[in-house]
Amino acid sequence: MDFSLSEELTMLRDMARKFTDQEIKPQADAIDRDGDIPESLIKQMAELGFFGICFPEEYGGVGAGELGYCIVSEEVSRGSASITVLLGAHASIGAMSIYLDGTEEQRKKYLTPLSTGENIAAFALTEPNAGSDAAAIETTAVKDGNEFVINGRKIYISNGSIADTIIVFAVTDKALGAHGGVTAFIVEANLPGYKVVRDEDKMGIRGSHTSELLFEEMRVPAENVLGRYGAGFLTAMKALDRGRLGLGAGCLGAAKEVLDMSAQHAKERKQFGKSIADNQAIQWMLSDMCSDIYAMESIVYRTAWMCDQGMKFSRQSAIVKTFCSEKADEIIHKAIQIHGGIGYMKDFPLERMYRDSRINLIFEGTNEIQRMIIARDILKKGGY
Amino acid sequence: MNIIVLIKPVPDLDKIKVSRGQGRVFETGKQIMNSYDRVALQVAMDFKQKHGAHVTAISICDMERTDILREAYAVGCDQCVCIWDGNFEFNDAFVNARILSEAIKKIDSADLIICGARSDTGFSGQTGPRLAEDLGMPHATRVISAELNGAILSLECLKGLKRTLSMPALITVDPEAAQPKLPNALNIMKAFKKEVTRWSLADLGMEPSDAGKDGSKVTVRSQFLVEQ
Ligand SMILES: Cc1cc2nc3c(=O)[nH]c(=O)nc-3n(C[C@H](O)[C@H](O)[C@H](O)COP(=O)(O)OP(=O)(O)OC[C@H]3O[C@@H](n4cnc5c(N)ncnc54)[C@H](O)[C@@H]3O)c2cc1C
Repeated sequence: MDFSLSEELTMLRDMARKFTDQEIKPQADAIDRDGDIPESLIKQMAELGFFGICFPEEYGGVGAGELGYCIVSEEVSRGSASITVLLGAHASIGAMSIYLDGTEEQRKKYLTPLSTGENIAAFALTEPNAGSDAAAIETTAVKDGNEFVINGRKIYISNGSIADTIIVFAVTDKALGAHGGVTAFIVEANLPGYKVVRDEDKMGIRGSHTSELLFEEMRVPAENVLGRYGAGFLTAMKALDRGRLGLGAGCLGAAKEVLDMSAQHAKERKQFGKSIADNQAIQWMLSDMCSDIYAMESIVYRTAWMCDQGMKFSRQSAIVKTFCSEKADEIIHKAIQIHGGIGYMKDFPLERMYRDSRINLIFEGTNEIQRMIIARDILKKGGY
Repeated sequence: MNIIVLIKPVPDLDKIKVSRGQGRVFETGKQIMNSYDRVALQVAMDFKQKHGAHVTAISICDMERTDILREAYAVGCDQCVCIWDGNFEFNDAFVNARILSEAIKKIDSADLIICGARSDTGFSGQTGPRLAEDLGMPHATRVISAELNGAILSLECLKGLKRTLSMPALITVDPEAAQPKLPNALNIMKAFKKEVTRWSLADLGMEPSDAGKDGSKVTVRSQFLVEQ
């Protein structure tokens, strides 16, 4: 067992950390307040390679693997969870679907400009009547000559209103159900019949655009079928395995950040003539936060390593998602407690981070659904 | 145009440990790039982008203890040279300047040499000027802006002092001279796959007694901590 991080990834982390400190943190409050990530910041991240960390160089990426992606996701999450979600929806599930199941031509044509950050991707699965029950999607795609005609509505799509390339999941054969009857399509945002209805007004990750999309008689060339015809649900599930892992890495970064803040505040803040850190009550909170972070870090990196080895990791990524999202939520809760009143104020980042972290228990499959996935896997394949 | 940038490893000040009893500073973790040298690299990269240049980074460093030459590759250097030998731990600026001048003579194609004005640790600011003297090159120190017209360098130094130098020349730069850019992720990944040229004292035609304690003019008699 070798747990050391390679020199490359150490330097990559260092770069992402510096970028977060210098560029993201100073803008994080404005991103939350304005509900948008400045174009200039997106351009800078594109130049640094943030949009294609996990993809091979031949498709415009960096070739740093899933572990590299997790490390960058972790670092940017110390600054702004809105950026984590921008990168996550783009790389981890959107572009990832093309990388996993695209043909060589599709990868060259669509993945390359996504990796370089020239284009932005989104992943459109959820619908008004299909949330946790993603297999219940109603959007249809009907073959007409060399094209498919897509009709339907997608909701809560991250990056929806800013995306150039959208992976859309639609029913191609209702009788076959999710497995066999759903197909994935690569959709370009400039197609006639494609419409962004609106962006949601949210509790947290306010800089991330969460959009409702409408497809009316939208014609997609048959060559834009992604993966096998009828195997779209499989593509979605494989991409979500990656997404959930990256999500865990984001939770890890936020947790580390607030532990650093809490330790510093606990030493500096004096009450009753001593640092509040001198109280066992505070020490135990710090200690529990740190123990949880250690466990989070261990499962995130190990699962990323499994992924990079080409091993199966669906059960593990569901565990990472559930564990890290719940622990990050608790850790930020404790961080606010340690900070007292100032932790509750908007001029301190904890208030934003607390709102931001809540989504992690819901999207990419709720934690209840993750527990279902884990349990099913245990019951099918046996325990540990 | 051939540009040579000199880069130095320094302890990461966030990671040093101080022993009050022994009056010594212990380094932990990897050494990082001297902050002034980051600026020197960026000045070189700006020239490269504007005028085209082959940029070589040279460092007297133990590659086991630092990745600064990898960083030099990551920000866009074309070649990196590491000079290291057993007794280098106690080199002073006099020795380092001599070693660097031999290395630059060996490369034999420097139009412009750029160094940081001083190091974050020693703060003596001697290596650049000493090296220029060894090489018989004109030099300017503490440059805050540099423009190139043909073979003429138009410089602005600290306190508004204007200078022009004709190349080959050496300059030492202050932080105002450039804003160091972060390396991009792909170049970081590639940097570790590139070859670093490694030279020892013998490769430079020097004797062991030319370096380390024997070669240095500075003798450290004692070290102590100043109470603040
Ligand atoms: C900000 C944001 C961004 C999003 N981004 C995307 C995106 O980019 N792409 C995309 O396709 N989707 C996206 N989503 C959708 C997201 O994945 C869904 O919201 C999520 O899967 C839950 O679906 P739902 O909201 O319909 O909740 P529901 O499915 O209605 O669930 C409501 C509650 O019931 C529980 N529940 C449901 N079924 C069961 C069951 N069988 N057993 C136990 N409990 C159950 C759930 O766990 C939850 O607690 C996003 C959502 C949000 C809020």
